[in-house]
Amino acid sequence: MLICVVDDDAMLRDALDALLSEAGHEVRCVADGLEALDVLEVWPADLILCDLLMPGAEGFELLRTVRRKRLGMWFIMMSGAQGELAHFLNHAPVLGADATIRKPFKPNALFETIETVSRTDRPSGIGHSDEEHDDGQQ
Amino acid sequence: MTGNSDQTGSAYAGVSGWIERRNSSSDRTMHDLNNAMASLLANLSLGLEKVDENHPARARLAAANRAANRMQELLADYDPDRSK
Repeated sequence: MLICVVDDDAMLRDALDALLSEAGHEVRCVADGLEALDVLEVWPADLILCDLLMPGAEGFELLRTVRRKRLGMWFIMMSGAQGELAHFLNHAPVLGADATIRKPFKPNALFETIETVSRTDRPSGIGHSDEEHDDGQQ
Repeated sequence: MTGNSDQTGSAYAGVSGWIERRNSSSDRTMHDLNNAMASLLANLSLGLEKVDENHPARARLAAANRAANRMQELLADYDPDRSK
């Protein structure tokens, strides 16, 4: 599977790159949503594993763009946010994420999440698109 | 492609700024700790796979992995929103 990892934490990017590559996936890692869009334009990933809170373009922005453009990629949102911000992750499925996972996760939990998601129909973007209602009211 | 981000975030363009304002110092520390912990868990898991059963470092790596897993559980317990 082609997996695009999007996280501003360099140590975690490196670890996830190694972990997922070792598991047989082809992995590209980027530091934010804008960089991810550049990569995805030329490298159509099967799955995006994206951090929620990042400087620049955070996870919700990337998720919305991926669904609006109907890129047809599975999307897993991850977050290590605490306190009040922890609730943000719960909104990701409403916006089209196929799954969420909270940091710190054990490797097996990540593999299980990817396996579960990959058994679902691959998103077409239909049903998540906001082309007709791009008023920010989702 | 960068220009598309301008069209992207009509609903969420202000989220990052809002988050930055609301995010307390302790929450930021916990966020960074969770990232570091996830990295540690991944690297220890990979290290254990690479080290032969008879390697002298194997027991120490396994012990570190057990400690890291325990710490992950403690962090999970610390956050009431977290289910696992």
